[in-house]
Amino acid sequence: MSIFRRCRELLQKVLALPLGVSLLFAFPASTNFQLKDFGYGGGGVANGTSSNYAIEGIAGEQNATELGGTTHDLGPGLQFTNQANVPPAPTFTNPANYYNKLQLTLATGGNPSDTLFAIAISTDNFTTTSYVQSDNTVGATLGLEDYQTYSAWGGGSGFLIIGLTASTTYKVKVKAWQGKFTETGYGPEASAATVGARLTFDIDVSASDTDTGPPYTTDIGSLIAGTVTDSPEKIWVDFDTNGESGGRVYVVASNAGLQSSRAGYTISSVTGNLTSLSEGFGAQGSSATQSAGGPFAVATAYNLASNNVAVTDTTIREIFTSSAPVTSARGSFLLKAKSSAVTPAASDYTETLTVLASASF
Amino acid sequence: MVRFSAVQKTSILEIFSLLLVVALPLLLANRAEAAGFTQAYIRFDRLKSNTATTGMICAKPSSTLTTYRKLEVTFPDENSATDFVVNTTAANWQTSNISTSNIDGNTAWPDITNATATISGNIVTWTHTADQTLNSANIYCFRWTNTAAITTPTTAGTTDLVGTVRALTSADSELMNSKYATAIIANDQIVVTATVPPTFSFSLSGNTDSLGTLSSSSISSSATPRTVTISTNAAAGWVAWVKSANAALSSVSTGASIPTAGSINDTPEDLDSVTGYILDVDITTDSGTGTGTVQQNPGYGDEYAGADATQGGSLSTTFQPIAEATGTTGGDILTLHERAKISAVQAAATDYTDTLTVVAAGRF
Repeated sequence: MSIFRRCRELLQKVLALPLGVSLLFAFPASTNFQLKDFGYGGGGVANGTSSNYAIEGIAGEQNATELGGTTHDLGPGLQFTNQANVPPAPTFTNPANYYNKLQLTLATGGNPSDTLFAIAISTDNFTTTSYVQSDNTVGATLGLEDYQTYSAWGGGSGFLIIGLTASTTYKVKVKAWQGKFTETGYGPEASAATVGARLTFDIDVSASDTDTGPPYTTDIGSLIAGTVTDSPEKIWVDFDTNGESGGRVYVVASNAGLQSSRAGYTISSVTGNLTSLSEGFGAQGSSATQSAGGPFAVATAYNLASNNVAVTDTTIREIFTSSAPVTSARGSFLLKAKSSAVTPAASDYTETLTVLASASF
Repeated sequence: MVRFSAVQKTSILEIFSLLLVVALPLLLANRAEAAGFTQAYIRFDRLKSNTATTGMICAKPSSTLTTYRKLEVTFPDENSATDFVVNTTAANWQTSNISTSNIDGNTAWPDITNATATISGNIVTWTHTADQTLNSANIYCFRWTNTAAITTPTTAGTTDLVGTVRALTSADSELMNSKYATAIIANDQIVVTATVPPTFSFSLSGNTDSLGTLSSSSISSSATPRTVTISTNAAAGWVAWVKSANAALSSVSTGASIPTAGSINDTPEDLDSVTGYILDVDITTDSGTGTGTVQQNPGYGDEYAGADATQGGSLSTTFQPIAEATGTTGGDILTLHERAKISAVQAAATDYTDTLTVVAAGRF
């Protein structure tokens, strides 16, 4: 038998009900009060279950007409009475300029600790609705596993809803369930917004921690044979990102060393200790700080001391790294050079360093 | 009191159940949202404004993708001042202009060098001929290697320039997407300069050299030949010269002289066949430190490059090159051998003498 034929038969049976049923929809009232809804006469409760479903049927009382206001709902009958408390609006925030996650803390609404909560989430005022999954991502369907206790949802600390879209306002609402036939409707909404993906980067060249503008130059000066000479200025970088996996600052060189076209010779960039090497040029990390997040750090290869340097050549190499979002990071590195007695004399030794940045979102 | 028959109760229950069953799918059916990459980043190889640049694109899927067919990258294009200018020539974005080398040790993006690029505005889409798998354990990267492909925005000092990386199926269904951000600055380069000042050192091991008693039947050579040591960082090396005061061994007491043999002709003389006074210059040490090589060439010492103990070059009262070096040196050494053989009728005297002046210069 098709479902449509069955519907038609059921409808016919409804229409065949005694006319007296209609009398149930008249409302007694006084000057100050009105009994909005009531039932009388016979009634009963029946439960049906299968392996996957359960249904509670209640006969003999109204199951329509719900009283409600802007801040409350009052439903009729036994089923409404059995329902869990509708959860209040949760606390929904973006505490750290996240672009892909938001912090959510549920409110229990006085429900017991074994109450399960489900969370709906939307970007369009619930024209379309998604659900926070048990793994804190957002999914299209609400499964039983996505009903979790307050504790499982992070308790008073809450949790992060992840996998969100940048520059988007989200709304959430919560419903509760404590056993069969007790699921509430959704409570009030809360909203929060992700920010856009962000990367800020700048370079300075200065002896001290000072902002400078281009052109960026540093003159190491005359190299005395056998002596390690530092660049008088350091190269500073500003780096700021909310990239989930942080980011990197890179250095790449044009000549792989100090090159003289006049002498036709390059003081090669090297990795090693210039104290013991006869000749060479390289970089050494000097400082790395941040105001929050990170940490922003000198990459291992350049995290050196004394006269140890690392190569700067035509390969783009990481010189600073952060594995997490970082705010107001500031780093510096300096250059060291050494000539030998047989380094060809010339006044035009030059290298051009390019400093880059990228962030991982 | 209204009573419902058992049939009516069942009917009501069935209607409710039916409505619930019908309504549930409508309540719970919703649009699926694509997940984001675990990591996605684009490293532009230049961040200077208005600069053509190459770069690298990387992404790590948050779950393994097996139906990935297209990669779509949107370069920031919020407004004309902060737009990247994307070249619309597909060839600049595909095949020979795509590389999976030098990708910081990450996993090569599968099949990307075979993918076909299409460009629409600021969006570049690489399409594979078949579905590819992107494993969630890997960060996949590739580089575009033609600077003609894209130019950075004209406005410097801009931050938070946002673009998108998307993975699509063959039907353009979105599998995964992430935003990324970059920044553009006025100049991303530092020019480093330095000077290496010139150095030069020269020494002579002694200032006298005796030939002893000369013979008409044998060749007399320096008993204690003197050496010249030269060090310099002159990029083009050095030249050494010798000048003779007399071009001969001269006796003041008798007025006689033993003239130099032969003439300056880049060919040493051989006292086996002639008499006279000559100078043989040997390259004793060509320093292994430095860029130079010591040589005797035509016009630069061949005259004095005697092949054995009987040969040497003609001396002159003007400076003549005796050797040269081609680059820097930590200490080249020349040895000067004066030689003489007299005729049977050479006037006897004990004061035959000559003065050789030896100099050198670095070629900076």
